[in-house]
Amino acid sequence: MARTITITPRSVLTVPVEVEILSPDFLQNKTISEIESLPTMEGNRRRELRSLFEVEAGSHGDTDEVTLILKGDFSKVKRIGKAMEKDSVLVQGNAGMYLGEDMKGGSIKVEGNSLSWAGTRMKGGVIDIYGDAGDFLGASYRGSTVGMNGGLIKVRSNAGNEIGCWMRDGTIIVKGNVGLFPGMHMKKGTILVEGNSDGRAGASMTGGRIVCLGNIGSILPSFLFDDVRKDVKVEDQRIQGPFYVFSGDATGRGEGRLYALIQNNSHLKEYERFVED
Amino acid sequence: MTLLLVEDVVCPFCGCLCDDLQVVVEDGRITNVRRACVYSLAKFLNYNKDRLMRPLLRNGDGLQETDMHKAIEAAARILVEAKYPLLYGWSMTSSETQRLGVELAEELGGVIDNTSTVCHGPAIEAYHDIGKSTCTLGEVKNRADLIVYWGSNPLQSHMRHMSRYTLGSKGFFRKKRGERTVVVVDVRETYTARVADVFYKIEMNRDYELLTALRMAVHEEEIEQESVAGVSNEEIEELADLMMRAEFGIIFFGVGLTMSLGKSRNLDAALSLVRDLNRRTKFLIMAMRGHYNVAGANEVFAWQTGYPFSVDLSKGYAQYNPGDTSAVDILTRGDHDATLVVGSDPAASFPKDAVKGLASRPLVAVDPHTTATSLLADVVIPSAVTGIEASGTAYRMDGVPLEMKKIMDPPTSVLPDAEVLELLLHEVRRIRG
Amino acid sequence: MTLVIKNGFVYDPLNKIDGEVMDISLADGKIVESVNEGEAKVIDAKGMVVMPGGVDMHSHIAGAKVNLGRMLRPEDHQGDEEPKTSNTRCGVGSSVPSTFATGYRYARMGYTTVFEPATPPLKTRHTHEELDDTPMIDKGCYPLFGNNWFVMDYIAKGEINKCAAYISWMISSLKGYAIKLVNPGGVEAWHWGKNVRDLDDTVPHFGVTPRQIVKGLCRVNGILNMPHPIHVHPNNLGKPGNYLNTLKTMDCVRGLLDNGRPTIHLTHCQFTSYTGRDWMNLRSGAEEIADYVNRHSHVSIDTGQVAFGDTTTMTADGPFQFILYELSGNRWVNGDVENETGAGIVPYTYKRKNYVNATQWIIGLELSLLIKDPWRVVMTTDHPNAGKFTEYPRVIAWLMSRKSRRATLDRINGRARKRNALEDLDREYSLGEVATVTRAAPSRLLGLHAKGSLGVGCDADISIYNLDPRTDLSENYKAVRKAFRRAAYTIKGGEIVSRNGEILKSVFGQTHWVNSKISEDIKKSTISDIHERFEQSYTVSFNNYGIEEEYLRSSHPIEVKGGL
Repeated sequence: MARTITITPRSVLTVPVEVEILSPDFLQNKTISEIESLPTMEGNRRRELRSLFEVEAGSHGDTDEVTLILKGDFSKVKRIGKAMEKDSVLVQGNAGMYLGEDMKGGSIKVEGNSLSWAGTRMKGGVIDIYGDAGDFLGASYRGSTVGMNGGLIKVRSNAGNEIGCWMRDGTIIVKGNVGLFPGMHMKKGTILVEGNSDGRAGASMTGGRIVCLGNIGSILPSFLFDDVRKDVKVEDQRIQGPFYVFSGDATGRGEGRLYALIQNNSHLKEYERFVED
Repeated sequence: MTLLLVEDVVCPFCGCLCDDLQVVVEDGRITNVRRACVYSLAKFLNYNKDRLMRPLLRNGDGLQETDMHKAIEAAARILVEAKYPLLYGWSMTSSETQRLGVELAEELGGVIDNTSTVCHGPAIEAYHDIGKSTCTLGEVKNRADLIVYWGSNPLQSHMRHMSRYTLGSKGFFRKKRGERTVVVVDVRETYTARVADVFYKIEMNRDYELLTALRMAVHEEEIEQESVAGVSNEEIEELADLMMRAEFGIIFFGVGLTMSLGKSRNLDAALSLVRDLNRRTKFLIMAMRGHYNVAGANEVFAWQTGYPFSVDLSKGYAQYNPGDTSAVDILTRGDHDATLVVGSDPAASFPKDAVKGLASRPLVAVDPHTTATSLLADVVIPSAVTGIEASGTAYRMDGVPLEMKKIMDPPTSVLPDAEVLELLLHEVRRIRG
Repeated sequence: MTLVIKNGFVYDPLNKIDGEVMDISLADGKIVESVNEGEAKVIDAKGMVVMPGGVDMHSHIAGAKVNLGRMLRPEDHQGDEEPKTSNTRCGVGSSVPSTFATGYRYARMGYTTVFEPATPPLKTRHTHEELDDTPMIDKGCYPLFGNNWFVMDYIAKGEINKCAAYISWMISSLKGYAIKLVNPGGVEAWHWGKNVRDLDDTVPHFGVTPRQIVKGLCRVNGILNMPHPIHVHPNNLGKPGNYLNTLKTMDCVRGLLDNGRPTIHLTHCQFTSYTGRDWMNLRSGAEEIADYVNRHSHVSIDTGQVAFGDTTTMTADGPFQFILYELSGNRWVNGDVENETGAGIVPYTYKRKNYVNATQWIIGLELSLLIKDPWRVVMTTDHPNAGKFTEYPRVIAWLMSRKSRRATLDRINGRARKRNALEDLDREYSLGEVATVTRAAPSRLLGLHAKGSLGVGCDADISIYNLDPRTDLSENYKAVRKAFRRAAYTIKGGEIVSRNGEILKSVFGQTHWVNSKISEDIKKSTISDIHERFEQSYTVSFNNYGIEEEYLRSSHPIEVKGGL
């Protein structure tokens, strides 16, 4: 039987909260009482979930699926969807840091904003954020070179700095604008920014592609003009250009590519002198 | 009249940690410090101004004098009741005190952070990704023929840095001024720029680009721009050349690099540049640490918890992620529900929203002096001035540990930080039973 | 407090006890003849192995370079956290654990004494601060001298007695235990981005050769009657073909001293026992090295055994660490220390299928098995360079069980397996030999008379393992690993501090250091000699250089009278 589990905060959360574990597949075979007893850290206090949240559960339909609905402001709740492998999470509000950390499958949807480090070390599945995402989308942990390694992160509004930092594979799509250093130290995968970037795209990238339909900002001195291309394929979509294409980062292996939509990047016109006739 | 000359005094001011000061004590008062720079002299001569003499407790809008026992109890209670207390500061005190600070944070289950978080923390964040090639200051004194100050103005911030360690120092292999070249890279022509051999004026917030262009030159790659960050291609090649042809080069960097646009990634580029230069010659890099023992705070936190700053101990073990577990971010988001500030004045220097966060929750301040932070606090505990009234270990900007001396007694009933921390720990444990 | 451990199988090589069932009694922190059993606490160790507490003579656990490693690798700590308990502080691992975790993890394995083998004099205060925050163990540190400006100058001028006086003052001042050399002369060359070619190359500017440095410091060691020989990490570490230089290094001090014990300790010898011209034809030189060690009793070694997996290399050998960075492409840290030495750190993963790593693994074990005298071949992993110290149980199993070696051989690079002799080596260590190479031998080599022994009067540092020597330990090597991983009991200073992996009581051990005593006049004239030069070349005041005894949490000086 498919289950819907709805969790609602009893009052405004003030200090950081972490539940072990707010993932739908983890909750699959648990009774309401077991869910209410889940160990929950409220700052440094060890609690049970029930002391901070109300739980409702219902079942319907024939499938085995679990839908976890988080109803309210969950911006103080860290690691929602941690290591989940299937089923879905719907956050009807804002989501806290490390959303979908180590996720392998299933889907997470956030109707509000998400704080930083969403999709960190993700391997599969889909994260869909309707509002803004913070910094370090799909990034690695500090000191590690293993960032997002698969799956799809979609942000319908804006995202912050260093999205896709140390990314190894997968796709990030931001419909709005992003900050500095998208694709920092990127190894492989695709980042699509439909809005503008603050600049320095692909810094230290060794592979992968960054496509920007808006103003890509400044191009680093370590990126060299490659070509003009008429379109580029992202996921199943063929996006019409034409694009200025740059390769880099030449201070490293330099097998990454930046695609800047020509019509929104007139500041890069000077590179046309490199176009071979 | 009694006259006492205390020699080999370690200065408790900046990261230079000069240890050759001679403090003159006449009739029980410090009247002069030989060899000190003006900041150091000012500290030694004025350390008794704006002193906190007695513990204070907030009563309504004002702070009232109380005794140590009540203050410690009130402070401990605030901290024990908190679910996510922040313990901040630590850079202007000894490593012995810092060790107690970590113990207290662990006991409480709070977050402990030091001033790196608003200063050279970004350099440490980049270090995790790249590593670094560095040395102690004597290596610079003895061998360096090329010294680059990037985003740093030592003649105003670290006044004896050049005379003790770089341009003015007499090194074993570099005895004369002429054997050294000093380069300054900065957004404006500072005092240091004026005495340098070469000055590159760089557009604000474009350090990352210039460092990248330099890396390209070191990799013998052509760039496609004619100038970067307001510096012409020619000048970029000239600077890269200077670096590659040096026998022993070093970059000293300041907050001009760590706090301008790009922050930790500016350091990512600088650390990478220095690493790349090592394929051709000997090259190193060092942070111009501000407070005299912020480097020590990083060391202590790292050996006790595994992490150098922004350490979250709320789960009973250490977690680390600047941006999440860092003081400014916690205060701005209002994640905390109490703060302890030791030897620091965040209310005077933090961004506005973080200060609001600081003021909006119970606050305990431990400091020798009245500060903007202590004026906001609910409990204020006076402490001795470390390095003058209390001894202890401090770590220089290059990691060299030195023992600070106790030269004067603190005012009666004012205790060294370490003792205040011990009292707090004891009381916290008593309350928790 | 009195305690008696009854009915255990006791392995106490220093007292020639090899598996006898007997009782061990202790009182007031020392081993005693007997106690009043009515009043004493009793541990029934029936069917268990009883040994002196483990003594690790070479493990990088404290100081500037170790902390640089901790700070470099937050990702190394993730997922390996130890929460705070009512009697332990929190900590993290894994290849560069925090100080509290280091102490607890050693205690859980039954180790009670550990030495930090490389401390730069200028930063030794830092080393002591970290050792003071490392619980559960007795400890000490070896200051670095092989690239020291004063040392090289004295040796260049042939002033061995002055050198000895200087080192006497340094060892006592720094609260150090032994004279350490790392890539003698090479690290000074590295301060210009260079290295030395071998033992007979000349150090830039100083006009000495590494050979002269090694010999000079060996003679100094003898003059000062230091309890431990010079502890040497030779030139060319990690380089194919380096076994020749290692042999020359061992041989260059042959006959120099005549005190009936080893005069040179070659540390983490695996890294310096390579034949071959390059990485493609790297092979084991263990046979050549073992042959020399077997025929010359003036040499002792510790093995530096590789354990596969991710770890962090860290040594004072700056140029080697740079080469490792270039080979691996991993992160690189370098930290040169004025007038003295350096440091380099590179994270590294030893992979079974990698030809070079597999060969390195083989070499360490070949050394252990081919060298006949267990008193001169101590087991280490040069933590964390070849492997983490928490892998000791795995290494012990390899030593004791041919079957466990074969299980690993089956998984390693086939070419490395075929090209080296390990597979054919039958020898299996007995428990007595294990006790020797992990307790008795390091204690004796260090001159720590109260450690590594269950003799009456010795410190009551004891480990009890849940291992029955009557079973086939070679066949059942997994039981060996399990037993040594979690000591049934660890006793430190007469108190039960750990039981089945649970820390029962947090204690702090003592810092052992050598108080080198020479004529006061000679000492004074040495100090005045160097004072001026010191202030010229260093950037700290001479008077701020030394470390006061009160600085240590618990100081345990060993007075050693030198011949000056």
